[in-house]
Amino acid sequence: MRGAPSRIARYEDAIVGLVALAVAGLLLWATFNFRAVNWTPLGLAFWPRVILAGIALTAVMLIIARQLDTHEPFRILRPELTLFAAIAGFVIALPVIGFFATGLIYSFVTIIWLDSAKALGPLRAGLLALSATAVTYGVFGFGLKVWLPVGLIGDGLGF
Amino acid sequence: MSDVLLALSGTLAPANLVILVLGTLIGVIIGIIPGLGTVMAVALLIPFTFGMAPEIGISLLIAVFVGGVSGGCVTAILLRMPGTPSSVATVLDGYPLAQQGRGGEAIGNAVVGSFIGTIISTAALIVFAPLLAQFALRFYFPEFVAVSLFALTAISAVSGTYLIRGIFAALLGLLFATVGISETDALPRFDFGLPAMQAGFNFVPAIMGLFAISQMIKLAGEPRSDAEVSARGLQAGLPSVAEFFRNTGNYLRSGVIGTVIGVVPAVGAATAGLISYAQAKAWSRTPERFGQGHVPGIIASETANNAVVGGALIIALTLGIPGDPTTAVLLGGLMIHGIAPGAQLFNNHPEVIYSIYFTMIFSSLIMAIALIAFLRPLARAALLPRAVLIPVVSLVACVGVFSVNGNIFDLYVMLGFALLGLLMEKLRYPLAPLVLGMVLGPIIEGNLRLMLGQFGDITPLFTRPIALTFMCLSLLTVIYIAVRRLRERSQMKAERPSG
Repeated sequence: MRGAPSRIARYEDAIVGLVALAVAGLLLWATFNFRAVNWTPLGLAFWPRVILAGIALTAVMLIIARQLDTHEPFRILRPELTLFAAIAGFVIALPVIGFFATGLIYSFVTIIWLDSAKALGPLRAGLLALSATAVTYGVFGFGLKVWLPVGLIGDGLGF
Repeated sequence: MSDVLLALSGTLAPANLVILVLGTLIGVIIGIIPGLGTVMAVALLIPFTFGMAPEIGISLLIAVFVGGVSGGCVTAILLRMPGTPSSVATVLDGYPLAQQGRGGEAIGNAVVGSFIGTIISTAALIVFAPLLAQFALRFYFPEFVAVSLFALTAISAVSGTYLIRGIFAALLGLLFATVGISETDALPRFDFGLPAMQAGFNFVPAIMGLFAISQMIKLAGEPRSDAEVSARGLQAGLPSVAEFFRNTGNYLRSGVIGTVIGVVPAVGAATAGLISYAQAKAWSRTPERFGQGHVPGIIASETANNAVVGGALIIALTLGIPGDPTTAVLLGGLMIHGIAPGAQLFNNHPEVIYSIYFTMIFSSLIMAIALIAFLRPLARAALLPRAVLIPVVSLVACVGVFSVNGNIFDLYVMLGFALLGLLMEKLRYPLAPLVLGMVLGPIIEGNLRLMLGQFGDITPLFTRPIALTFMCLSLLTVIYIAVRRLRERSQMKAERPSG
């Protein structure tokens, strides 16, 4: 039988409720800036306001409940943050240096980073990264005729 | 008849058969790998369907669905780790059987069960879907509002442990669906002056973020698994004819259970497998053998979880109501091709419907042949190093998202939903209601506003018989879950030692 966690979350649902209430309030204010329409009695803002009222109500219930279940406090682990940052870096770099270079760099760096046991090594990681990028480029670029970004550098070189 | 023959010849065309085989294999492989799931499998393949005819595109997605649900049995049996949640009950007898050196026999029976389950539910789909589609012609604005609310309430109530979290997630999904150009008014909402926001949150980036990218991020943070698959000498052992006929009752009962559960929104393949397992044990003359490596337990679980596919499609195709995230993604894929599910689908696009029927049959056959003939290499998929899996899946997901509109903004939407998905999972908020909220939001709003415009108020929801039935079902679902939760809580308090 598992023992009780050493630290227990106490206010997570309340925090979710507070954030939701604040965001609902902001979005409700935004609905007053929607364009007024005269061809329908209910207008653009009707449905969003119904939903926001529901969110506000459930947010209040979450605040009152404070914490619905017993578990360790929420935390984002460093590997999760690192991978998110890597994918975000890929997305930011994509229009700048193009798909092939970004895909290759992203795949290679991520494989090396995740291969902490050094089971693959840099050479195999490089070959795997090249294969993954080339196959993806081939399938999407040539097979599905998707135009993949060539980046500012590729644009400059006339691709 | 000509539509049937047209659909059959289309499905059997060499190029389309190749697509079916590939789709089923991809589904099986993703189903085998623990932690990925059928939702991700279907979502990853959606961008590949853009250049295809609608009936072929949706057939590919269904083949992936069938393959994915079936593939989960391999690691459930060999590693005690269900590849997909639908195979959770298969562990109970599959793993003990594998420990006795009879893993091949367990997988063989699981494959046959999966095949039979898919065929039974396909038969139900062929018989009942057209009938329900005709019934759905009686649906008017109030009925669509009521049935959508029921589906959303049901999945909010059943997903996760707490109803309030499920409802919150559903409301978030409904809110996300309002961003962008309103379908009713053709004017932007919540765009904050940004042209990119006027298109709203495209379904594919949202799904990829929630189910593919967030899953890869979560996988990166998990401790390494020391599980090993010994595929040496592994061969799927098919049941003998006598064994097959001895289990006929089990196959039929489990197939019906799975199909019926598939029809009910929110219950899902995992629950179908567990209920069917419990029923098989209750009906067995040797219930004490269940849990010790008893083949009927595996048959019950795998037949039922595959039968859910056809059951879910009955409701999804006729009413446009997805009962689970995978079917929601499937419907999203259909709508991307400009085909709206519902009664008119059967009248206006019979070729799509018949293609779906044939795909279910052929993909279950392909799945069975693949798992029997190529079990050893497929089983090794379970051990694909995450150092390779994570970069490849995330790369394909990013490119798939980009291929929707060729728009970098979609990738930022994907990142946003990935972060949201990760936060929700860590805080134990269910994702399924959010996905359904995004799919059903425009349906509910459109029909609600039309209903209010025509009838003036919401009383038709409570005065029209079909609408009232679904509203009562929604209320009963909430009450049932709330009462059950209260009972569990008071039971826990009573069991807690005093002092």
